[in-house]
Amino acid sequence: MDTVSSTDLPAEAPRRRRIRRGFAHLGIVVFGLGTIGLLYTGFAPGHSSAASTNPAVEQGYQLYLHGCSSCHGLNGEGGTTAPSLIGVGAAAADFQVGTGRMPLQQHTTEAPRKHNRYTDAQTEQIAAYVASLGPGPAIPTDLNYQSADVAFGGALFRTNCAQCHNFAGSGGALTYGKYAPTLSDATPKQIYEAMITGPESMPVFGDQEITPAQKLAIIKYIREIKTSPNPGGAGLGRVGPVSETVVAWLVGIGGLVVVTMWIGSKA
Amino acid sequence: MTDESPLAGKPRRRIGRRRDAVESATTTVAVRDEHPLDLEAHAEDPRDRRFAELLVTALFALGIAATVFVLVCYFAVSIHDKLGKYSNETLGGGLAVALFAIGAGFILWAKSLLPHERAIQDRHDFHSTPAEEQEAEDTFIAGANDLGLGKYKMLRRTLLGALGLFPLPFVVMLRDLGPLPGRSLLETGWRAGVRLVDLDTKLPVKLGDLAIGGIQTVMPEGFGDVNDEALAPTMLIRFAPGEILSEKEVNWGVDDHVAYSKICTHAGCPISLYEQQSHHLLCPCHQSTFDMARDAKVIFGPAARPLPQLQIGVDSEGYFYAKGPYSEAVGPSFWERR
Repeated sequence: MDTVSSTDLPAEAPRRRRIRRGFAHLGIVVFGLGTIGLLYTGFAPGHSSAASTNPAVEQGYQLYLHGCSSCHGLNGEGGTTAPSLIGVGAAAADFQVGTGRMPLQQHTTEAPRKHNRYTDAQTEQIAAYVASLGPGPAIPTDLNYQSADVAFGGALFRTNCAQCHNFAGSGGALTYGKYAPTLSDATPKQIYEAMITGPESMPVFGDQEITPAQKLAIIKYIREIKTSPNPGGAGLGRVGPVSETVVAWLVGIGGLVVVTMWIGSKA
Repeated sequence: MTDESPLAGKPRRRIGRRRDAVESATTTVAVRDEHPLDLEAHAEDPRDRRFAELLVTALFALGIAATVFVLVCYFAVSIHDKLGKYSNETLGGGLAVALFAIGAGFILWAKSLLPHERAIQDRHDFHSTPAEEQEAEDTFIAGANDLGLGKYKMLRRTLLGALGLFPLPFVVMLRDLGPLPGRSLLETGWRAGVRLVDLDTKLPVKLGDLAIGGIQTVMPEGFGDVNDEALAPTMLIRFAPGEILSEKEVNWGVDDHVAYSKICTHAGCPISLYEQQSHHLLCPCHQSTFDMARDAKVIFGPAARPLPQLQIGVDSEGYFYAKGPYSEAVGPSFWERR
């Protein structure tokens, strides 16, 4: 401030006058900022009063302020780079934070799965806060998929999931750099949450379309293909003939060519 | 290859020019022991030869051992045992080791123990002598005269008839490429009033079943084998209000629900790689991309046309039904439709 005001003045002005005017400028700025701040705290919408009644929501709000609010706004209203969180529900927050996708490391076409920095309790607190913003899908509680029909789950998976996530759940490419991730790391709860919330490009599969029992069957199928052995030898990512052909041509036939040339060079 | 060979650098074969003095085709194999041998590969020392012999023996023994190992693995370990999951690796690996050991033994044998003599075989001209050519020509003409095709009129005609008729069955059998598809390529199982049912559960779909941003694969109610009705699969997609950018698309749907053919217009792959945020629909076969918010317009890839839209309505019970068949042919291009 001082430097700015001093350059405005003629060089021959008395020094004391220059200092006094500098302080006056500083005072105006401080007063202005203070007024704006007071006005803001007066008019800005505070977060809902219901939040304070539930300690989990309150703790979640504190975590939210530190980790999420810079993009999603102080009250989950969203911003230019992030969607509104009002009405997305606890399941969406639990999925995004639980899989480490949120908070984002950087803005890319696809948020990659990474290590979750929060504890399970903290994740639930954030989810509780997001749930308090508006009604949305809750975190699924009944995840007893062991008795589900795996064959029917496989049929549902091939109709609804395999086109993007690959028939063995290995994931695949989408348009313009987006991709469907592999399902091998996803927990049953996360798979369930992804179906009911439709994170990023994924469509939403509501309970009227795929019933909870059918969702459990799909989860059972995904767990089954994850734990089933590879009887044919190395799985090679289970992405089908592409990786198998690459290995056969480069490693197999390439190796034969190298050995043949080596034998020939020794003749 | 040593350069002191008297034959080196001298072409022995000429092409396209007949020489007058043609020698008869003979093969001369000259064994030239006087040339220095490639001593690096050939063991002269008896101790080296003994070592090479042992090495080759060891390789062959390894081949025997590996083959026996494969047999033992095949018979002794059931694939249902705990070790059985390694069955493919042990069988394949054992066979690979056996074959490699036997092959390596052969190569080592040839390199270390066989005498390394240099044999040179001269190339010779491939054409025959004029006398032989003349003889062949005479034989052919004599044979043709002996046949007497000019003399036996009936023989000649029946032969021509038989040979002319014989290819006919092969032409006739081309009929089996048919029958012509008729209208089957233009029609699907969709008719006016038929309800939309889920592909797997076969239950009719109600307005409100689908969440916003949801997609469902539906078939006409009462469909039989999906493979017989491969053109019928249809996607029911629900948008958020105001997301559909085409007026026609809105009018053909109900309450932000629209139905489009699931069969790609390029090569007929089933597509439902639907991105609910960008509304892109990607075909996994050749990356044709459709913008589902703009009449399924092709925005990338080889597809020639947008996906056909199915006009749908909701009946008094709240179930979706088709207002009519697809107004255009579904699926890839064919002769009458490009």
